[in-house]
Amino acid sequence: MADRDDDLDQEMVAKAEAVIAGLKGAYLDWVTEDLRRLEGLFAEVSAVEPEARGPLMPQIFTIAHDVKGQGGSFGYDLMTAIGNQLCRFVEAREDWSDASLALVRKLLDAMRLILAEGLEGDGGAMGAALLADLHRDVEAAGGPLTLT
Amino acid sequence: MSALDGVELKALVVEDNQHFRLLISTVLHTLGISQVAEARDGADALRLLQSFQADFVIVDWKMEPMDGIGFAHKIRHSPDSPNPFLPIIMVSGYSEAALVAEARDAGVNEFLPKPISARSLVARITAVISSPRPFVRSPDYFGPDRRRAQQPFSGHDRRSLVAELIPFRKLG
Repeated sequence: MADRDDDLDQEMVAKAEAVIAGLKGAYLDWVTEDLRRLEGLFAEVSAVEPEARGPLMPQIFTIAHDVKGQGGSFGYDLMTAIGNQLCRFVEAREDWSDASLALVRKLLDAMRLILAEGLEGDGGAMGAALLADLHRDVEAAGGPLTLT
Repeated sequence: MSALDGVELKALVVEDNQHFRLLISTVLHTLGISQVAEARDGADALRLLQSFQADFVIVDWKMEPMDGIGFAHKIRHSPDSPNPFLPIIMVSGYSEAALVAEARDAGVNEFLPKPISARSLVARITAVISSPRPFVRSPDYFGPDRRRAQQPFSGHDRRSLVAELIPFRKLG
Protein backbone atom coordinates (compact mmCIF):
# COMPACT_ATOMS: atom_id res chain seq x y z
CA MET A 1 0.00 0.00 0.00
CA ALA A 2 1.18 3.52 -0.77
CA ASP A 3 1.74 4.88 2.71
CA ARG A 4 5.39 5.88 2.59
CA ASP A 5 6.07 9.57 2.13
CA ASP A 6 7.55 9.12 -1.34
CA ASP A 7 4.56 7.08 -2.56
CA LEU A 8 1.87 9.55 -1.61
CA ASP A 9 0.61 12.61 -3.41
CA GLN A 10 1.82 15.30 -1.02
CA GLU A 11 -0.58 17.88 -2.43
CA MET A 12 -3.53 15.65 -1.57
CA VAL A 13 -2.15 15.01 1.91
CA ALA A 14 -1.68 18.76 2.49
CA LYS A 15 -5.24 19.48 1.34
CA ALA A 16 -6.63 16.81 3.64
CA GLU A 17 -4.53 18.03 6.58
CA ALA A 18 -5.75 21.59 6.03
CA VAL A 19 -9.42 20.63 5.95
CA ILE A 20 -9.10 18.47 9.08
CA ALA A 21 -7.31 21.33 10.87
CA GLY A 22 -10.16 23.60 9.80
CA LEU A 23 -12.63 21.30 11.56
CA LYS A 24 -10.87 21.52 14.93
CA GLY A 25 -13.39 24.05 16.26
CA ALA A 26 -16.24 21.75 15.29
CA TYR A 27 -14.43 18.82 16.92
CA LEU A 28 -14.25 20.70 20.22
CA ASP A 29 -18.03 21.16 20.05
CA TRP A 30 -18.48 17.46 19.28
CA VAL A 31 -16.32 16.22 22.13
CA THR A 32 -17.92 18.71 24.53
CA GLU A 33 -21.30 17.21 23.64
CA ASP A 34 -19.88 13.68 24.06
CA LEU A 35 -18.64 14.62 27.54
CA ARG A 36 -22.02 16.11 28.42
CA ARG A 37 -23.66 12.82 27.46
CA LEU A 38 -21.07 10.85 29.42
CA GLU A 39 -21.72 12.98 32.49
CA GLY A 40 -25.47 12.39 32.13
CA LEU A 41 -24.94 8.64 31.91
CA PHE A 42 -22.53 8.70 34.83
CA ALA A 43 -25.13 10.46 36.97
CA GLU A 44 -27.69 7.86 35.92
CA VAL A 45 -25.36 4.97 36.74
CA SER A 46 -24.36 6.48 40.07
CA ALA A 47 -27.99 6.81 41.14
CA VAL A 48 -28.76 3.09 41.00
CA GLU A 49 -27.58 0.12 43.04
CA PRO A 50 -24.33 -1.59 41.90
CA GLU A 51 -26.14 -4.64 40.52
CA ALA A 52 -28.27 -2.43 38.24
CA ARG A 53 -25.30 -0.55 36.78
CA GLY A 54 -23.93 -3.14 34.34
CA PRO A 55 -26.68 -2.84 31.70
CA LEU A 56 -26.05 0.92 31.45
CA MET A 57 -22.31 0.64 30.89
CA PRO A 58 -22.42 -0.23 27.14
CA GLN A 59 -23.79 3.27 26.51
CA ILE A 60 -20.77 4.75 28.27
CA PHE A 61 -18.52 2.44 26.23
CA THR A 62 -20.07 3.58 22.94
CA ILE A 63 -19.51 7.27 23.62
CA ALA A 64 -16.02 6.67 25.02
CA HIS A 65 -15.26 4.75 21.83
CA ASP A 66 -16.29 7.77 19.75
CA VAL A 67 -14.07 10.01 21.90
CA LYS A 68 -11.18 7.59 21.39
CA GLY A 69 -11.75 7.46 17.64
CA GLN A 70 -11.79 11.21 17.02
CA GLY A 71 -9.31 12.95 19.32
CA GLY A 72 -6.12 11.98 17.53
CA SER A 73 -7.47 13.15 14.16
CA PHE A 74 -7.54 16.70 15.52
CA GLY A 75 -4.32 16.65 17.51
CA TYR A 76 -5.92 15.62 20.80
CA ASP A 77 -3.94 12.40 21.24
CA LEU A 78 -4.30 12.47 25.01
CA MET A 79 -8.10 12.52 24.62
CA THR A 80 -7.84 9.41 22.43
CA ALA A 81 -5.60 7.74 25.06
CA ILE A 82 -8.01 8.46 27.93
CA GLY A 83 -11.01 7.43 25.80
CA ASN A 84 -9.24 4.16 25.07
CA GLN A 85 -8.57 3.57 28.75
CA LEU A 86 -12.22 4.18 29.59
CA CYS A 87 -13.23 1.66 26.90
CA ARG A 88 -10.76 -0.95 28.18
CA PHE A 89 -11.90 -0.42 31.78
CA VAL A 90 -15.60 -0.70 30.96
CA GLU A 91 -15.18 -3.84 28.86
CA ALA A 92 -12.97 -5.55 31.47
CA ARG A 93 -15.13 -4.86 34.54
CA GLU A 94 -17.99 -7.02 35.68
CA ASP A 95 -18.50 -5.60 39.14
CA TRP A 96 -19.68 -2.01 39.19
CA SER A 97 -19.03 -1.15 42.79
CA ASP A 98 -18.61 2.42 43.95
CA ALA A 99 -14.83 1.89 43.74
CA SER A 100 -15.12 0.99 40.05
CA LEU A 101 -17.28 4.03 39.41
CA ALA A 102 -14.71 6.20 41.17
CA LEU A 103 -12.16 5.29 38.51
CA VAL A 104 -14.64 6.11 35.75
CA ARG A 105 -15.09 9.46 37.49
CA LYS A 106 -11.30 10.01 37.36
CA LEU A 107 -11.19 9.26 33.66
CA LEU A 108 -14.08 11.63 32.96
CA ASP A 109 -12.34 14.31 35.01
CA ALA A 110 -9.19 13.74 32.96
CA MET A 111 -11.17 14.32 29.76
CA ARG A 112 -12.64 17.52 31.18
CA LEU A 113 -9.17 18.72 32.14
CA ILE A 114 -7.84 18.06 28.63
CA LEU A 115 -10.60 20.23 27.21
CA ALA A 116 -10.39 22.94 29.85
CA GLU A 117 -6.63 23.29 29.47
CA GLY A 118 -6.55 22.72 25.72
CA LEU A 119 -4.06 19.86 26.13
CA GLU A 120 -3.18 18.97 22.55
CA GLY A 121 -0.75 16.23 21.56
CA ASP A 122 0.57 14.35 24.59
CA GLY A 123 -0.32 17.30 26.81
CA GLY A 124 3.27 18.10 27.76
CA ALA A 125 4.14 18.21 31.46
CA MET A 126 0.51 18.51 32.51
CA GLY A 127 -0.43 15.52 30.37
CA ALA A 128 2.40 13.46 31.87
CA ALA A 129 1.29 14.42 35.39
CA LEU A 130 -2.29 13.50 34.52
CA LEU A 131 -1.27 10.05 33.30
CA ALA A 132 0.97 9.48 36.34
CA ASP A 133 -1.96 10.37 38.60
CA LEU A 134 -4.19 7.92 36.74
CA HIS A 135 -1.50 5.23 37.05
CA ARG A 136 -1.65 5.55 40.82
CA ASP A 137 -5.44 5.39 40.85
CA VAL A 138 -5.49 2.35 38.59
CA GLU A 139 -2.98 0.53 40.76
CA ALA A 140 -5.03 1.38 43.82
CA ALA A 141 -8.11 -0.03 42.07
CA GLY A 142 -6.24 -3.21 41.18
CA GLY A 143 -5.97 -2.58 37.44
CA PRO A 144 -6.34 -3.78 34.75
CA LEU A 145 -5.56 -0.65 32.72
CA THR A 146 -2.27 -0.01 31.03
CA LEU A 147 -1.79 3.69 30.71
CA THR A 148 0.83 4.81 28.24
CA MET B 1 -0.28 15.99 -10.30
CA SER B 2 -2.80 14.37 -7.99
CA ALA B 3 -3.36 10.63 -8.22
CA LEU B 4 -7.07 11.45 -8.61
CA ASP B 5 -6.70 14.23 -11.19
CA GLY B 6 -8.89 13.83 -14.22
CA VAL B 7 -10.90 11.04 -12.60
CA GLU B 8 -14.58 11.58 -11.84
CA LEU B 9 -15.11 9.61 -8.67
CA LYS B 10 -18.14 8.83 -6.55
CA ALA B 11 -17.72 7.74 -2.95
CA LEU B 12 -20.07 6.39 -0.31
CA VAL B 13 -19.42 6.98 3.41
CA VAL B 14 -21.17 4.51 5.73
CA GLU B 15 -20.92 5.52 9.38
CA ASP B 16 -23.38 5.78 12.26
CA ASN B 17 -21.58 8.67 13.94
CA GLN B 18 -22.65 11.88 12.23
CA HIS B 19 -19.49 13.74 13.24
CA PHE B 20 -17.19 11.14 11.74
CA ARG B 21 -19.38 11.03 8.62
CA LEU B 22 -18.99 14.77 8.26
CA LEU B 23 -15.21 14.57 8.76
CA ILE B 24 -14.73 11.93 6.07
CA SER B 25 -17.16 13.51 3.61
CA THR B 26 -15.57 16.94 4.00
CA VAL B 27 -12.11 15.55 3.31
CA LEU B 28 -13.35 13.62 0.27
CA HIS B 29 -14.95 16.74 -1.21
CA THR B 30 -11.71 18.65 -0.64
CA LEU B 31 -9.76 15.94 -2.46
CA GLY B 32 -11.95 16.50 -5.51
CA ILE B 33 -14.32 13.56 -5.18
CA SER B 34 -17.23 14.96 -7.14
CA GLN B 35 -20.08 13.06 -5.49
CA VAL B 36 -20.10 11.82 -1.90
CA ALA B 37 -23.16 10.00 -0.57
CA GLU B 38 -23.74 9.07 3.07
CA ALA B 39 -25.45 6.15 4.77
CA ARG B 40 -25.99 5.32 8.45
CA ASP B 41 -25.42 1.56 8.38
CA GLY B 42 -24.80 -1.35 6.04
CA ALA B 43 -28.45 -1.93 5.15
CA ASP B 44 -28.95 1.77 4.41
CA ALA B 45 -25.83 1.66 2.22
CA LEU B 46 -27.04 -1.37 0.24
CA ARG B 47 -30.32 0.40 -0.51
CA LEU B 48 -28.48 3.53 -1.60
CA LEU B 49 -26.12 1.58 -3.86
CA GLN B 50 -29.06 0.39 -5.95
CA SER B 51 -29.17 3.89 -7.47
CA PHE B 52 -25.73 5.34 -6.65
CA GLN B 53 -22.79 3.77 -8.49
CA ALA B 54 -19.97 4.39 -6.02
CA ASP B 55 -16.36 3.91 -7.10
CA PHE B 56 -15.37 3.09 -3.54
CA VAL B 57 -16.91 2.84 -0.10
CA ILE B 58 -15.57 3.92 3.28
CA VAL B 59 -17.46 1.89 5.88
CA ASP B 60 -17.34 1.76 9.67
CA TRP B 61 -17.19 -1.60 11.42
CA LYS B 62 -19.60 -1.31 14.34
CA MET B 63 -23.06 -0.22 13.25
CA GLU B 64 -26.62 -1.41 13.70
CA PRO B 65 -28.60 -3.07 12.34
CA MET B 66 -26.00 -4.12 9.71
CA ASP B 67 -22.32 -3.64 10.53
CA GLY B 68 -19.42 -3.19 8.13
CA ILE B 69 -18.53 -6.88 8.01
CA GLY B 70 -22.11 -7.80 7.12
CA PHE B 71 -22.07 -5.12 4.45
CA ALA B 72 -18.83 -6.47 2.95
CA HIS B 73 -20.27 -10.01 2.87
CA LYS B 74 -23.38 -8.78 1.05
CA ILE B 75 -21.34 -6.80 -1.48
CA ARG B 76 -19.00 -9.70 -2.24
CA HIS B 77 -21.44 -12.62 -2.14
CA SER B 78 -25.08 -11.58 -2.50
CA PRO B 79 -26.81 -12.27 -5.83
CA ASP B 80 -28.33 -8.79 -5.42
CA SER B 81 -24.95 -7.11 -4.97
CA PRO B 82 -24.70 -3.90 -7.02
CA ASN B 83 -20.99 -4.55 -7.64
CA PRO B 84 -19.10 -7.52 -6.13
CA PHE B 85 -15.81 -5.79 -7.00
CA LEU B 86 -16.63 -2.55 -5.17
CA PRO B 87 -13.49 -1.33 -3.34
CA ILE B 88 -14.16 -1.28 0.42
CA ILE B 89 -12.11 0.70 2.94
CA MET B 90 -13.06 -0.25 6.49
CA VAL B 91 -12.52 2.21 9.34
CA SER B 92 -12.63 1.13 12.94
CA GLY B 93 -11.53 1.98 16.43
CA TYR B 94 -10.90 -1.74 16.87
CA SER B 95 -7.53 -2.59 15.36
CA GLU B 96 -6.59 -5.88 17.02
CA ALA B 97 -4.93 -8.31 14.60
CA ALA B 98 -7.75 -10.86 14.78
CA LEU B 99 -10.34 -8.22 13.87
CA VAL B 100 -8.24 -6.91 11.00
CA ALA B 101 -7.97 -10.49 9.74
CA GLU B 102 -11.75 -10.88 9.98
CA ALA B 103 -12.19 -7.77 7.84
CA ARG B 104 -9.65 -9.05 5.32
CA ASP B 105 -11.42 -12.42 5.12
CA ALA B 106 -14.74 -10.64 4.54
CA GLY B 107 -13.25 -9.15 1.37
CA VAL B 108 -12.32 -5.70 2.64
CA ASN B 109 -9.66 -4.03 0.50
CA GLU B 110 -8.06 -1.73 3.06
CA PHE B 111 -8.27 -1.26 6.82
CA LEU B 112 -8.07 2.24 8.32
CA PRO B 113 -7.75 2.47 12.11
CA LYS B 114 -9.29 5.36 14.03
CA PRO B 115 -8.29 8.00 14.79
CA ILE B 116 -7.62 8.62 11.12
CA SER B 117 -5.02 11.04 9.80
CA ALA B 118 -4.97 12.88 6.50
CA ARG B 119 -2.04 10.73 5.42
CA SER B 120 -3.65 7.40 6.34
CA LEU B 121 -6.90 8.30 4.57
CA VAL B 122 -5.18 9.49 1.39
CA ALA B 123 -3.01 6.35 1.43
CA ARG B 124 -6.05 4.02 1.51
CA ILE B 125 -7.90 5.93 -1.21
CA THR B 126 -4.79 5.94 -3.39
CA ALA B 127 -4.38 2.21 -2.84
CA VAL B 128 -7.89 1.27 -3.97
CA ILE B 129 -8.06 3.73 -6.88
CA SER B 130 -4.51 3.79 -8.27
CA SER B 131 -3.20 0.34 -7.34
CA PRO B 132 -6.17 -2.03 -7.07
CA ARG B 133 -5.26 -5.64 -6.35
CA PRO B 134 -6.69 -8.41 -8.53
CA PHE B 135 -9.57 -10.38 -7.09
CA VAL B 136 -9.44 -14.01 -6.08
CA ARG B 137 -12.29 -16.49 -6.27
CA SER B 138 -11.81 -19.74 -4.34
CA PRO B 139 -14.22 -22.16 -2.67
CA ASP B 140 -14.07 -20.25 0.61
CA TYR B 141 -13.14 -16.71 -0.38
CA PHE B 142 -14.02 -14.00 -2.86
CA GLY B 143 -12.37 -10.61 -2.69
CA PRO B 144 -9.13 -8.73 -3.29
CA ASP B 145 -6.01 -10.87 -3.28
CA ARG B 146 -4.96 -11.20 0.35
CA ARG B 147 -1.34 -11.59 -0.71
CA ARG B 148 -0.25 -7.99 -1.08
CA ALA B 149 3.23 -8.74 -2.39
CA GLN B 150 3.60 -11.03 -5.39
CA GLN B 151 6.76 -12.83 -4.31
CA PRO B 152 8.43 -15.94 -5.73
CA PHE B 153 7.09 -19.06 -4.02
CA SER B 154 9.04 -22.31 -4.15
CA GLY B 155 6.61 -24.62 -2.35
CA HIS B 156 3.34 -26.23 -3.43
CA ASP B 157 1.07 -23.32 -4.40
CA ARG B 158 -2.35 -24.54 -3.24
CA ARG B 159 -3.99 -21.44 -4.65
CA SER B 160 -3.10 -22.38 -8.22
CA LEU B 161 -5.36 -25.42 -7.88
CA VAL B 162 -8.38 -23.97 -6.14
CA ALA B 163 -8.48 -20.24 -6.85
CA GLU B 164 -9.00 -18.01 -9.84
CA LEU B 165 -7.25 -14.65 -10.09
CA ILE B 166 -9.58 -12.10 -11.63
CA PRO B 167 -8.38 -8.74 -12.95
CA PHE B 168 -9.89 -5.84 -11.04
CA ARG B 169 -13.36 -4.76 -12.23
CA LYS B 170 -14.02 -7.73 -14.51
CA LEU B 171 -17.66 -8.35 -13.69
CA GLY B 172 -19.30 -11.73 -13.70
